[in-house]
Amino acid sequence: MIVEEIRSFLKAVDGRPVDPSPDAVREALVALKREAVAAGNQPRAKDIWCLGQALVVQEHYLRAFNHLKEGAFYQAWCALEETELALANLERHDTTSWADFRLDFIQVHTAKWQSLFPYKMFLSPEFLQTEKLCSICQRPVLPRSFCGHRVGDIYDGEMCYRTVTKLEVLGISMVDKPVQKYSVLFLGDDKTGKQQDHYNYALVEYPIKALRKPFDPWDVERTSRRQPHSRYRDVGRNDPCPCDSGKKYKKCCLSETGVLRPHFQYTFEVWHPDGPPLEDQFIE
Amino acid sequence: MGEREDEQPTVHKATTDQALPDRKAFDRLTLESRAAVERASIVLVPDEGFRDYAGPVFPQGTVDFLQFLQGHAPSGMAVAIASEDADYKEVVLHSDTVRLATIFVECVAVPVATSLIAAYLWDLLGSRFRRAEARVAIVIHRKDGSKEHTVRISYEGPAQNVQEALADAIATPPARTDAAPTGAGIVMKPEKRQDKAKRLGTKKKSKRQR
Repeated sequence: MIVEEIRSFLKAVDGRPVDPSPDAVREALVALKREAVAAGNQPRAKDIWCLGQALVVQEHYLRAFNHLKEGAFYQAWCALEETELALANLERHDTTSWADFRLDFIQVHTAKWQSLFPYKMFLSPEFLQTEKLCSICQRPVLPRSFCGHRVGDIYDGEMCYRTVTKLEVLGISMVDKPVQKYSVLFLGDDKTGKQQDHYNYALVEYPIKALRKPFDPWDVERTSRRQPHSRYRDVGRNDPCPCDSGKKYKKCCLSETGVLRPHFQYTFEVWHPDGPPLEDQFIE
Repeated sequence: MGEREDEQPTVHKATTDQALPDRKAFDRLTLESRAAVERASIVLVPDEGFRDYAGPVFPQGTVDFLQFLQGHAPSGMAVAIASEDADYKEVVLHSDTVRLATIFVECVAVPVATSLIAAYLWDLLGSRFRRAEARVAIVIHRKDGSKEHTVRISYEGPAQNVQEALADAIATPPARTDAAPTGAGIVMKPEKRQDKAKRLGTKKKSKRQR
Protein backbone atom coordinates (compact mmCIF):
# COMPACT_ATOMS: atom_id res chain seq x y z
CA MET A 1 0.00 0.00 0.00
CA ILE A 2 1.41 3.38 -0.95
CA VAL A 3 0.93 6.73 0.80
CA GLU A 4 -1.65 7.94 -1.72
CA GLU A 5 -3.82 4.89 -1.08
CA ILE A 6 -3.66 5.59 2.64
CA ARG A 7 -4.64 9.21 2.06
CA SER A 8 -7.61 8.05 -0.03
CA PHE A 9 -8.59 5.71 2.79
CA LEU A 10 -8.47 8.55 5.32
CA LYS A 11 -10.48 10.83 3.02
CA ALA A 12 -13.22 8.20 2.74
CA VAL A 13 -13.87 8.12 6.50
CA ASP A 14 -17.55 8.90 5.96
CA GLY A 15 -18.13 5.80 3.83
CA ARG A 16 -15.18 3.47 3.76
CA PRO A 17 -15.12 0.27 1.72
CA VAL A 18 -14.60 -2.94 3.70
CA ASP A 19 -11.19 -3.44 2.11
CA PRO A 20 -8.62 -2.33 3.18
CA SER A 21 -9.35 -2.58 6.89
CA PRO A 22 -7.99 -0.04 9.39
CA ASP A 23 -5.66 -2.79 10.66
CA ALA A 24 -4.22 -3.27 7.17
CA VAL A 25 -3.67 0.48 6.89
CA ARG A 26 -1.92 0.55 10.29
CA GLU A 27 0.40 -2.26 9.20
CA ALA A 28 1.18 -0.44 5.96
CA LEU A 29 1.99 2.73 7.91
CA VAL A 30 4.39 0.84 10.17
CA ALA A 31 6.20 -0.63 7.14
CA LEU A 32 6.39 2.73 5.37
CA LYS A 33 7.72 4.42 8.49
CA ARG A 34 10.37 1.75 8.96
CA GLU A 35 11.53 2.31 5.38
CA ALA A 36 11.69 6.08 5.85
CA VAL A 37 13.67 5.79 9.11
CA ALA A 38 16.07 3.27 7.54
CA ALA A 39 16.66 5.73 4.70
CA GLY A 40 17.28 8.53 7.21
CA ASN A 41 14.32 10.46 5.77
CA GLN A 42 13.01 12.18 8.90
CA PRO A 43 10.47 14.48 7.16
CA ARG A 44 8.86 11.46 5.45
CA ALA A 45 8.83 9.51 8.71
CA LYS A 46 7.06 12.46 10.33
CA ASP A 47 4.52 12.69 7.48
CA ILE A 48 3.72 9.01 7.94
CA TRP A 49 3.32 9.51 11.70
CA CYS A 50 0.85 12.31 10.90
CA LEU A 51 -1.18 9.97 8.66
CA GLY A 52 -1.17 7.36 11.42
CA GLN A 53 -2.30 9.92 13.96
CA ALA A 54 -5.12 11.07 11.65
CA LEU A 55 -6.29 7.44 11.55
CA VAL A 56 -6.11 7.29 15.37
CA VAL A 57 -8.30 10.40 15.63
CA GLN A 58 -10.86 9.01 13.18
CA GLU A 59 -10.99 5.64 14.93
CA HIS A 60 -11.48 7.23 18.36
CA TYR A 61 -14.25 9.48 17.08
CA LEU A 62 -16.07 6.66 15.30
CA ARG A 63 -15.79 4.57 18.48
CA ALA A 64 -17.21 7.45 20.52
CA PHE A 65 -20.15 7.77 18.10
CA ASN A 66 -20.85 4.03 18.30
CA HIS A 67 -20.75 4.13 22.11
CA LEU A 68 -23.19 7.04 22.08
CA LYS A 69 -25.52 5.10 19.81
CA GLU A 70 -25.33 2.13 22.18
CA GLY A 71 -26.04 4.33 25.20
CA ALA A 72 -22.60 3.57 26.69
CA PHE A 73 -22.11 7.18 27.68
CA TYR A 74 -19.09 6.97 29.96
CA GLN A 75 -17.23 4.88 27.36
CA ALA A 76 -18.20 7.48 24.76
CA TRP A 77 -16.90 10.22 27.07
CA CYS A 78 -13.54 8.45 27.35
CA ALA A 79 -13.34 7.94 23.58
CA LEU A 80 -14.08 11.65 23.06
CA GLU A 81 -11.28 12.49 25.48
CA GLU A 82 -8.91 10.23 23.51
CA THR A 83 -10.05 11.96 20.32
CA GLU A 84 -9.27 15.37 21.83
CA LEU A 85 -5.83 14.29 23.03
CA ALA A 86 -4.93 12.67 19.69
CA LEU A 87 -6.03 15.81 17.84
CA ALA A 88 -3.90 17.98 20.14
CA ASN A 89 -0.86 15.79 19.44
CA LEU A 90 -1.39 16.09 15.70
CA GLU A 91 -2.31 19.76 15.62
CA ARG A 92 1.19 21.10 16.23
CA HIS A 93 2.58 19.14 13.26
CA ASP A 94 0.05 19.13 10.48
CA THR A 95 -3.32 20.70 9.87
CA THR A 96 -3.07 20.86 6.06
CA SER A 97 -5.11 17.69 5.49
CA TRP A 98 -7.63 18.27 8.28
CA ALA A 99 -10.50 19.18 5.99
CA ASP A 100 -9.79 16.24 3.66
CA PHE A 101 -9.71 13.76 6.54
CA ARG A 102 -12.73 15.38 8.31
CA LEU A 103 -10.54 16.19 11.33
CA ASP A 104 -11.86 19.75 11.48
CA PHE A 105 -15.40 18.33 11.75
CA ILE A 106 -14.22 15.91 14.41
CA GLN A 107 -12.55 18.67 16.43
CA VAL A 108 -15.64 20.89 16.42
CA HIS A 109 -18.08 18.08 17.15
CA THR A 110 -15.95 16.45 19.82
CA ALA A 111 -16.16 19.71 21.78
CA LYS A 112 -19.93 19.87 21.14
CA TRP A 113 -20.52 16.37 22.46
CA GLN A 114 -18.32 17.00 25.49
CA SER A 115 -20.23 20.18 26.32
CA LEU A 116 -23.51 18.23 26.55
CA PHE A 117 -22.32 15.69 29.10
CA PRO A 118 -23.57 16.09 32.66
CA TYR A 119 -20.17 15.48 34.27
CA LYS A 120 -19.15 18.47 36.41
CA MET A 121 -16.67 17.24 39.01
CA PHE A 122 -13.67 14.98 38.56
CA LEU A 123 -11.07 13.34 40.76
CA SER A 124 -7.62 14.77 40.31
CA PRO A 125 -4.62 12.87 41.67
CA GLU A 126 -1.63 14.87 42.88
CA PHE A 127 1.77 13.26 42.35
CA LEU A 128 5.33 13.99 43.26
CA GLN A 129 7.38 12.78 40.31
CA THR A 130 10.84 11.71 41.35
CA GLU A 131 11.93 10.06 38.10
CA LYS A 132 10.73 10.29 34.54
CA LEU A 133 12.30 9.13 31.32
CA CYS A 134 12.34 10.44 27.78
CA SER A 135 10.41 8.04 25.51
CA ILE A 136 12.93 8.51 22.69
CA CYS A 137 16.27 7.89 24.45
CA GLN A 138 15.08 6.44 27.80
CA ARG A 139 17.33 8.88 29.68
CA PRO A 140 16.08 10.62 32.83
CA VAL A 141 14.58 14.06 32.21
CA LEU A 142 16.66 16.42 34.35
CA PRO A 143 17.32 20.15 34.13
CA ARG A 144 21.13 20.07 34.03
CA SER A 145 21.58 16.96 31.91
CA PHE A 146 18.72 17.29 29.46
CA CYS A 147 18.68 14.88 26.52
CA GLY A 148 17.37 17.51 24.10
CA HIS A 149 14.21 15.65 22.99
CA ARG A 150 11.17 17.91 23.21
CA VAL A 151 7.81 16.57 24.30
CA GLY A 152 5.45 16.35 21.34
CA ASP A 153 8.17 16.50 18.68
CA ILE A 154 8.60 13.61 16.24
CA TYR A 155 11.84 11.60 16.15
CA ASP A 156 12.19 8.60 13.80
CA GLY A 157 8.46 8.77 13.22
CA GLU A 158 7.58 8.55 16.93
CA MET A 159 6.24 11.29 19.18
CA CYS A 160 8.32 12.18 22.22
CA TYR A 161 6.60 11.87 25.59
CA ARG A 162 7.67 11.31 29.19
CA THR A 163 7.33 8.06 31.09
CA VAL A 164 7.04 8.51 34.84
CA THR A 165 8.93 5.66 36.52
CA LYS A 166 8.91 6.79 40.16
CA LEU A 167 6.24 8.80 41.90
CA GLU A 168 4.55 9.37 45.22
CA VAL A 169 0.86 10.08 45.54
CA LEU A 170 0.41 13.26 47.56
CA GLY A 171 -3.34 13.46 47.52
CA ILE A 172 -6.52 13.35 45.51
CA SER A 173 -8.65 16.40 45.04
CA MET A 174 -11.89 17.21 43.29
CA VAL A 175 -11.67 19.62 40.37
CA ASP A 176 -14.04 20.98 37.76
CA LYS A 177 -11.34 21.45 35.10
CA PRO A 178 -9.27 18.27 34.89
CA VAL A 179 -6.34 17.67 32.54
CA GLN A 180 -7.64 14.22 31.75
CA LYS A 181 -11.36 13.84 31.85
CA TYR A 182 -11.56 10.10 32.55
CA SER A 183 -11.88 10.38 36.33
CA VAL A 184 -15.62 11.06 36.51
CA LEU A 185 -17.28 10.73 39.92
CA PHE A 186 -19.87 7.96 40.17
CA LEU A 187 -21.95 6.85 43.14
CA GLY A 188 -21.52 3.37 44.57
CA ASP A 189 -24.32 1.05 45.56
CA ASP A 190 -24.59 0.95 49.38
CA LYS A 191 -25.07 -2.80 49.53
CA THR A 192 -23.00 -4.21 46.67
CA GLY A 193 -20.45 -1.41 46.36
CA LYS A 194 -20.89 -1.55 42.59
CA GLN A 195 -20.60 1.61 40.57
CA GLN A 196 -23.87 3.29 39.63
CA ASP A 197 -24.33 5.70 36.78
CA HIS A 198 -26.63 8.31 38.32
CA TYR A 199 -26.24 10.95 35.61
CA ASN A 200 -28.98 12.30 33.37
CA TYR A 201 -27.80 12.05 29.76
CA ALA A 202 -30.90 13.56 28.15
CA LEU A 203 -28.94 16.35 26.46
CA VAL A 204 -26.68 13.78 24.77
CA GLU A 205 -29.46 11.30 24.04
CA TYR A 206 -31.54 13.73 22.02
CA PRO A 207 -28.97 14.50 19.27
CA ILE A 208 -27.57 10.98 19.07
CA LYS A 209 -31.05 9.62 18.39
CA ALA A 210 -31.53 12.20 15.65
CA LEU A 211 -28.28 11.39 13.85
CA ARG A 212 -27.90 8.56 11.37
CA LYS A 213 -24.19 8.87 10.59
CA PRO A 214 -21.16 10.16 12.51
CA PHE A 215 -20.54 12.93 9.99
CA ASP A 216 -24.08 14.25 9.61
CA PRO A 217 -23.74 17.95 10.56
CA TRP A 218 -25.58 19.20 13.64
CA ASP A 219 -25.36 22.09 16.01
CA VAL A 220 -26.55 23.11 19.44
CA GLU A 221 -27.35 26.59 20.68
CA ARG A 222 -27.65 27.48 24.36
CA THR A 223 -30.18 30.09 25.39
CA SER A 224 -32.54 30.64 28.31
CA ARG A 225 -36.31 30.23 28.26
CA ARG A 226 -39.02 30.70 30.86
CA GLN A 227 -40.71 27.46 31.92
CA PRO A 228 -44.32 27.60 33.21
CA HIS A 229 -44.69 27.89 36.99
CA SER A 230 -46.95 24.81 36.90
CA ARG A 231 -43.79 22.71 36.60
CA TYR A 232 -42.55 24.00 39.94
CA ARG A 233 -45.70 23.57 42.08
CA ASP A 234 -43.70 21.81 44.78
CA VAL A 235 -41.43 24.83 45.22
CA GLY A 236 -42.56 27.17 48.03
CA ARG A 237 -42.58 30.98 47.78
CA ASN A 238 -39.72 31.22 50.26
CA ASP A 239 -37.71 28.35 48.77
CA PRO A 240 -34.68 29.03 46.57
CA CYS A 241 -35.74 29.96 43.05
CA PRO A 242 -35.58 26.97 40.65
CA CYS A 243 -33.59 29.14 38.23
CA ASP A 244 -30.57 28.68 40.56
CA SER A 245 -30.12 32.43 41.05
CA GLY A 246 -29.70 31.94 44.80
CA LYS A 247 -32.61 34.30 45.54
CA LYS A 248 -35.98 33.33 47.01
CA TYR A 249 -38.55 32.15 44.48
CA LYS A 250 -40.93 35.02 45.43
CA LYS A 251 -38.17 37.59 44.92
CA CYS A 252 -37.00 36.15 41.62
CA CYS A 253 -38.96 34.32 38.93
CA LEU A 254 -42.33 34.01 40.70
CA SER A 255 -43.39 37.46 39.55
CA GLU A 256 -42.30 36.70 35.99
CA THR A 257 -44.09 34.74 33.29
CA GLY A 258 -42.12 31.63 34.15
CA VAL A 259 -38.93 30.24 35.63
CA LEU A 260 -35.82 31.07 33.63
CA ARG A 261 -34.07 27.83 32.76
CA PRO A 262 -31.32 26.83 30.30
CA HIS A 263 -32.68 25.97 26.87
CA PHE A 264 -30.83 23.88 24.28
CA GLN A 265 -31.84 24.19 20.66
CA TYR A 266 -30.53 21.58 18.22
CA THR A 267 -30.20 21.95 14.47
CA PHE A 268 -29.80 18.95 12.17
CA GLU A 269 -29.10 18.97 8.45
CA VAL A 270 -30.24 15.39 8.01
CA TRP A 271 -33.16 14.15 10.08
CA HIS A 272 -33.26 10.52 11.18
CA PRO A 273 -36.70 9.07 10.27
CA ASP A 274 -36.75 7.27 13.64
CA GLY A 275 -35.39 10.28 15.51
CA PRO A 276 -36.86 11.79 18.67
CA PRO A 277 -39.94 14.04 18.52
CA LEU A 278 -39.35 17.52 17.17
CA GLU A 279 -41.36 19.40 19.77
CA ASP A 280 -39.84 20.90 22.95
CA GLN A 281 -38.84 18.46 25.65
CA PHE A 282 -38.61 19.24 29.32
CA ILE A 283 -35.72 17.66 31.20
CA GLU A 284 -36.02 17.33 34.96
CA MET B 1 -19.34 18.77 30.99
CA GLY B 2 -21.27 21.99 30.82
CA GLU B 3 -20.17 25.38 29.69
CA ARG B 4 -17.52 26.97 31.88
CA GLU B 5 -18.31 30.25 33.44
CA ASP B 6 -15.74 32.95 32.82
CA GLU B 7 -13.77 33.53 35.97
CA GLN B 8 -12.07 36.80 36.71
CA PRO B 9 -8.28 36.58 36.53
CA THR B 10 -6.39 37.60 39.65
CA VAL B 11 -3.12 39.48 39.81
CA HIS B 12 -1.24 39.86 43.09
CA LYS B 13 1.62 42.26 43.44
CA ALA B 14 3.70 42.87 46.57
CA THR B 15 7.18 44.01 47.47
CA THR B 16 9.32 41.40 49.13
CA ASP B 17 12.64 41.47 50.91
CA GLN B 18 13.60 38.04 49.75
CA ALA B 19 16.44 38.25 47.25
CA LEU B 20 17.50 35.07 45.50
CA PRO B 21 20.63 34.35 47.60
CA ASP B 22 18.34 34.22 50.66
CA ARG B 23 16.15 31.54 49.24
CA LYS B 24 16.56 28.02 50.53
CA ALA B 25 16.99 26.75 47.00
CA PHE B 26 20.16 28.77 46.57
CA ASP B 27 21.72 27.22 49.67
CA ARG B 28 21.36 23.73 48.24
CA LEU B 29 23.32 24.49 45.10
CA THR B 30 26.93 23.61 44.44
CA LEU B 31 29.36 26.50 44.08
CA GLU B 32 29.41 26.01 40.32
CA SER B 33 25.62 26.11 40.07
CA ARG B 34 25.44 29.13 42.38
CA ALA B 35 27.82 30.98 40.10
CA ALA B 36 25.64 30.09 37.09
CA VAL B 37 22.50 31.28 38.89
CA GLU B 38 24.16 34.54 39.94
CA ARG B 39 25.21 35.21 36.35
CA ALA B 40 21.72 34.51 34.98
CA SER B 41 19.15 37.22 34.27
CA ILE B 42 16.27 34.74 34.49
CA VAL B 43 16.22 31.99 37.13
CA LEU B 44 13.58 29.33 37.73
CA VAL B 45 13.14 28.79 41.45
CA PRO B 46 11.27 25.98 43.24
CA ASP B 47 8.37 26.26 45.62
CA GLU B 48 9.14 25.02 49.08
CA GLY B 49 6.94 22.02 49.76
CA PHE B 50 3.52 20.85 48.71
CA ARG B 51 0.96 19.20 51.01
CA ASP B 52 2.96 16.96 53.39
CA TYR B 53 6.11 17.08 51.27
CA ALA B 54 8.52 19.69 52.64
CA GLY B 55 11.29 19.79 50.01
CA PRO B 56 11.74 21.95 46.93
CA VAL B 57 9.35 21.22 44.07
CA PHE B 58 8.77 22.52 40.58
CA PRO B 59 5.54 22.36 38.57
CA GLN B 60 5.18 19.68 35.92
CA GLY B 61 7.11 20.34 32.72
CA THR B 62 9.65 22.76 34.24
CA VAL B 63 12.55 21.08 32.38
CA ASP B 64 10.74 21.73 29.09
CA PHE B 65 10.00 25.31 30.15
CA LEU B 66 13.68 25.82 31.03
CA GLN B 67 14.77 24.44 27.66
CA PHE B 68 12.35 26.77 25.90
CA LEU B 69 13.64 29.81 27.80
CA GLN B 70 17.27 28.87 27.18
CA GLY B 71 16.57 28.26 23.50
CA HIS B 72 14.67 31.51 22.93
CA ALA B 73 16.32 34.07 25.24
CA PRO B 74 18.47 36.65 23.43
CA SER B 75 22.19 35.90 23.34
CA GLY B 76 23.91 37.25 26.42
CA MET B 77 20.81 36.79 28.57
CA ALA B 78 21.47 33.67 30.62
CA VAL B 79 18.67 31.47 31.95
CA ALA B 80 19.29 29.07 34.86
CA ILE B 81 17.47 26.89 37.33
CA ALA B 82 18.04 26.94 41.09
CA SER B 83 18.17 23.19 41.50
CA GLU B 84 20.64 20.36 41.19
CA ASP B 85 19.59 17.32 39.20
CA ALA B 86 19.61 15.19 42.35
CA ASP B 87 17.10 17.46 44.11
CA TYR B 88 14.84 18.01 41.12
CA LYS B 89 11.25 16.90 41.68
CA GLU B 90 8.00 17.88 40.01
CA VAL B 91 4.52 18.16 41.45
CA VAL B 92 1.84 17.03 39.03
CA LEU B 93 -1.64 18.38 39.56
CA HIS B 94 -4.25 17.09 37.19
CA SER B 95 -6.16 20.32 37.06
CA ASP B 96 -6.30 21.93 33.63
CA THR B 97 -4.52 25.10 34.76
CA VAL B 98 -1.00 25.34 33.35
CA ARG B 99 1.40 26.11 36.20
CA LEU B 100 4.81 27.52 35.46
CA ALA B 101 7.78 27.63 37.81
CA THR B 102 8.34 30.90 39.65
CA ILE B 103 10.72 33.09 37.68
CA PHE B 104 13.25 35.26 39.45
CA VAL B 105 14.17 37.94 36.94
CA GLU B 106 16.52 40.89 36.85
CA CYS B 107 14.75 44.17 36.17
CA VAL B 108 16.32 44.64 32.73
CA ALA B 109 15.13 41.23 31.59
CA VAL B 110 11.46 41.67 32.58
CA PRO B 111 10.10 42.49 29.09
CA VAL B 112 11.96 39.52 27.64
CA ALA B 113 10.74 37.24 30.44
CA THR B 114 7.06 38.18 30.02
CA SER B 115 7.29 37.74 26.24
CA LEU B 116 8.93 34.35 26.66
CA ILE B 117 6.26 33.23 29.13
CA ALA B 118 3.51 34.12 26.65
CA ALA B 119 5.42 32.49 23.78
CA TYR B 120 5.93 29.30 25.78
CA LEU B 121 2.23 29.08 26.67
CA TRP B 122 1.34 29.60 23.02
CA ASP B 123 3.79 26.87 21.97
CA LEU B 124 2.58 24.50 24.68
CA LEU B 125 -1.15 24.98 24.31
CA GLY B 126 -1.65 25.38 20.56
CA SER B 127 -5.33 25.88 19.84
CA ARG B 128 -6.11 25.61 23.58
CA PHE B 129 -4.23 28.89 24.16
CA ARG B 130 -7.42 30.95 23.89
CA ARG B 131 -9.40 28.97 26.43
CA ALA B 132 -6.76 27.57 28.81
CA GLU B 133 -5.92 28.98 32.22
CA ALA B 134 -2.41 29.64 33.47
CA ARG B 135 -0.75 30.37 36.80
CA VAL B 136 2.45 32.36 36.66
CA ALA B 137 4.63 34.10 39.26
CA ILE B 138 7.60 36.35 38.64
CA VAL B 139 9.87 37.96 41.21
CA ILE B 140 11.51 41.10 39.84
CA HIS B 141 14.88 42.00 41.32
CA ARG B 142 16.29 45.52 41.12
CA LYS B 143 19.55 46.78 42.52
CA ASP B 144 19.59 50.45 43.42
CA GLY B 145 23.09 51.28 44.63
CA SER B 146 23.60 49.27 47.79
CA LYS B 147 19.87 48.61 48.18
CA GLU B 148 18.08 45.67 46.63
CA HIS B 149 14.36 45.51 45.94
CA THR B 150 12.22 42.59 44.90
CA VAL B 151 8.61 42.65 43.79
CA ARG B 152 6.56 39.52 43.38
CA ILE B 153 3.75 39.41 40.84
CA SER B 154 1.54 36.38 40.51
CA TYR B 155 -1.17 35.87 37.95
CA GLU B 156 -3.90 33.30 37.55
CA GLY B 157 -6.33 33.54 34.68
CA PRO B 158 -6.66 33.09 30.93
CA ALA B 159 -3.34 32.08 29.35
CA GLN B 160 -3.83 34.50 26.48
CA ASN B 161 -3.89 37.49 28.87
CA VAL B 162 -0.70 36.66 30.76
CA GLN B 163 1.62 39.08 29.00
CA GLU B 164 -0.75 42.04 29.15
CA ALA B 165 -1.71 41.39 32.78
CA LEU B 166 1.92 41.13 33.88
CA ALA B 167 2.83 44.29 31.98
CA ASP B 168 -0.07 46.18 33.60
CA ALA B 169 0.92 44.90 37.05
CA ILE B 170 4.56 45.87 36.54
CA ALA B 171 3.51 49.39 35.59
CA THR B 172 1.44 49.76 38.79
CA PRO B 173 3.15 50.61 42.13
CA PRO B 174 3.16 47.65 44.50
CA ALA B 175 1.77 47.48 48.02
CA ARG B 176 4.28 47.15 50.83
CA THR B 177 3.55 43.99 52.79
CA ASP B 178 6.46 43.46 55.14
CA ALA B 179 4.49 41.02 57.27
CA ALA B 180 3.93 38.69 54.35
CA PRO B 181 7.09 38.85 52.31
CA THR B 182 6.24 36.41 49.58
CA GLY B 183 2.57 35.75 50.16
CA ALA B 184 -0.53 37.76 49.69
CA GLY B 185 -0.31 41.26 48.38
CA ILE B 186 -2.85 43.56 46.88
CA VAL B 187 -5.37 42.08 44.56
CA MET B 188 -5.66 44.18 41.47
CA LYS B 189 -8.93 43.76 39.75
CA PRO B 190 -8.44 43.68 36.00
CA GLU B 191 -9.22 46.98 34.41
CA LYS B 192 -12.56 47.08 32.65
CA ARG B 193 -12.29 47.22 28.89
CA GLN B 194 -14.18 50.51 28.63
CA ASP B 195 -12.03 52.09 31.36
CA LYS B 196 -8.86 51.04 29.61
CA ALA B 197 -10.16 52.35 26.28
CA LYS B 198 -10.98 55.64 28.00
CA ARG B 199 -7.51 55.83 29.56
CA LEU B 200 -5.81 55.09 26.26
CA GLY B 201 -8.10 57.39 24.33
CA THR B 202 -9.34 54.60 22.11
CA LYS B 203 -12.92 54.54 23.33
CA LYS B 204 -15.38 54.54 20.46
CA LYS B 205 -17.73 57.46 20.41
CA SER B 206 -21.42 56.73 20.58
CA LYS B 207 -23.66 57.85 17.75
CA ARG B 208 -24.95 60.67 19.93
CA GLN B 209 -21.40 61.93 20.62
CA ARG B 210 -20.60 61.91 16.93
